[in-house]
Amino acid sequence: MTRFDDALIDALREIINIGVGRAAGTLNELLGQHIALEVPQIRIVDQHQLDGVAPGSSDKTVSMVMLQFSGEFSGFSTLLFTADCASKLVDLLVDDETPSSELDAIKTGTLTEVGNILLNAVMGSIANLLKSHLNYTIPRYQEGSLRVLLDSIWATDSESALEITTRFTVQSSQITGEFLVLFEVGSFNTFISGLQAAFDE
Amino acid sequence: MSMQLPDLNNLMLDALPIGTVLLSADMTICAWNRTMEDWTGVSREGLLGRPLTEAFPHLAGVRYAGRIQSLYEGGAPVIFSAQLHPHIFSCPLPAGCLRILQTTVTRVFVDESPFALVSVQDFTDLVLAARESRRLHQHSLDEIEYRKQIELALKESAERIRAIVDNAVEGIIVINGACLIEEFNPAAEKIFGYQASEVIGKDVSMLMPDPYRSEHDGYVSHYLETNSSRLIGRDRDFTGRRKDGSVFPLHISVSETSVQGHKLFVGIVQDISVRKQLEEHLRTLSFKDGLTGCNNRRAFDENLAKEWRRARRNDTPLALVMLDIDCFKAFNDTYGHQEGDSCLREVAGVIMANLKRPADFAARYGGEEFVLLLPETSLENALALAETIRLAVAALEIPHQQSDVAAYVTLSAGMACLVPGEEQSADELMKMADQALYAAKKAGRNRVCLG
Repeated sequence: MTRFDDALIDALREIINIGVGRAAGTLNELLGQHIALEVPQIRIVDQHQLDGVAPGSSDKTVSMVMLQFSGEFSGFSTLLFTADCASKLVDLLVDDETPSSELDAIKTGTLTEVGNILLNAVMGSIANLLKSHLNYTIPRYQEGSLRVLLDSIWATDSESALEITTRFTVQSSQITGEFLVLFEVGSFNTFISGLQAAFDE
Repeated sequence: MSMQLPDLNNLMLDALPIGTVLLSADMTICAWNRTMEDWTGVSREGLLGRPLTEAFPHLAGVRYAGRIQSLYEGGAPVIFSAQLHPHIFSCPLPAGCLRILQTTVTRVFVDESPFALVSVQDFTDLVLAARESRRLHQHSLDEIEYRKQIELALKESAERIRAIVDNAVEGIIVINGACLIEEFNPAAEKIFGYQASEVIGKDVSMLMPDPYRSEHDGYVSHYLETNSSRLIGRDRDFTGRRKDGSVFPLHISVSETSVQGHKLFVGIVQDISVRKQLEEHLRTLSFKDGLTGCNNRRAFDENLAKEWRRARRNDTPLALVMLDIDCFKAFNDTYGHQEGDSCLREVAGVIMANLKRPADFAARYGGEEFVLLLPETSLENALALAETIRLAVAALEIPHQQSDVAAYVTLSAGMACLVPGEEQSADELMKMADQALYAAKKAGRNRVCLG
């Protein structure tokens, strides 16, 4: 990673922060309470580094909301939480008359919508910046070990991924989630050159 | 941009089991399928061609319209989850409540124009099932917590009872219906000299001397059969046997209880050796003459009745001797009461020293009067003994200046001997001896007369 790339990523972080900020506004309006969202860090990671990806080791159970995209560049955009964080987030967002530590169909539905809003904001920011038209599948919710989930969407010869750490602050509780944008073969280079072109303008 | 869909597409949407609405890029309602008509009760005639937010004003704003709008600009599909938007459209159920809906909005192109396809799924059953499952889950958690508390309470209660039993001053012994010891507290260990481990599971008769030992099993089985007992619910003195074989008196109260259908007998035991000794001592004292140490008149009365019955039963002679110190009033007047007491003690000592057989009995009968009761004794032998005592007292040579008889203390004695007949009473023997004593006095004292 060159210094030039670092500067590029910093610029991208600014753009995504704006998009995520808008998403926070949508969530606030939706849930009637203040949710602060920020993206403190963006990294480019390769497959070997994914074991170190928060929210934890690859064997830990995670909740994942996944959006597949295709177009000028293709891949998967995912939002990951540890099971604990996911459950806690839903409980903080929704006043349920029967709270429960288990993630059931109702809670995963809510989590999928939250992921939907955030993923749309992140992907919208990127697509706007690159003036790209992307097609998306309907967001899906999955849970399991991080390694198994990623193996199911990341082809063995895939390239680098964009890791976007996100911090939620809800009712003075902090919950951390991770965006992971995985690119199919060839797509990452298209993405980087698109970024360079966009910032060169 | 109001436009009608080709009929084929309308037919397809009507065939879907989910609610479907198609919105053109300006959010005009272009399709409202049959399922939506069924669920909402609103027919498509009044909706088609109208803006969504006009027909359903609550869908205006960032919350709904704003998010759907982003689709036309190339955004990703939008989800309105069942928990956050259960009633995005009002769909009443026959029961009176509303269907719980989950809605997904995707972008589709019809003739190259972007449309928003709104798919409405009925999540009612799913949500109710999830709630029920949560309720059951919570219920089982509550139950586990409740049981934990009960277990804790039981443990505390058991510990408390344990502490009470362990620290009780009384011995506590619990036996079951088979007479096997189930509980033996530290006080019981101290009383019987056994460790609990040596007696638990063993027959309780090991704590009893013969003959109780062999009788006890009979008691319990008799009780279990007839429900009547000499011991249960009553206090009783009993005899126990220590580990070293020694036998001791104990006080026991037994109560019966039932634990989970098993009969248990709880015995509260006190070692009353000390109490018994004290009682015995008091009893002895009550039969003793305080001054002379020999038996008193009460002891004599009891003994006379007893020996009289025995003599009658065995058809053996019973001899009675009455002894009286001669001119004792004059002795007291001359030497004072202290000397008088001392004289009485010496005479009593002589009398007791001359009784050789265990059954021979001497008592102080009155002021200076003594009495001997001699079972299975012939007149001759009784006379010989009375004479021996008379001579022995004289031999003491206790000075007695005012005596009519001698210069020292002397005795007069009257005696009688009978084999008790059917119609006779002990009083007759007494009377005969008394008359003999009177005769001895009258005849000049310091002598033995026969009644």
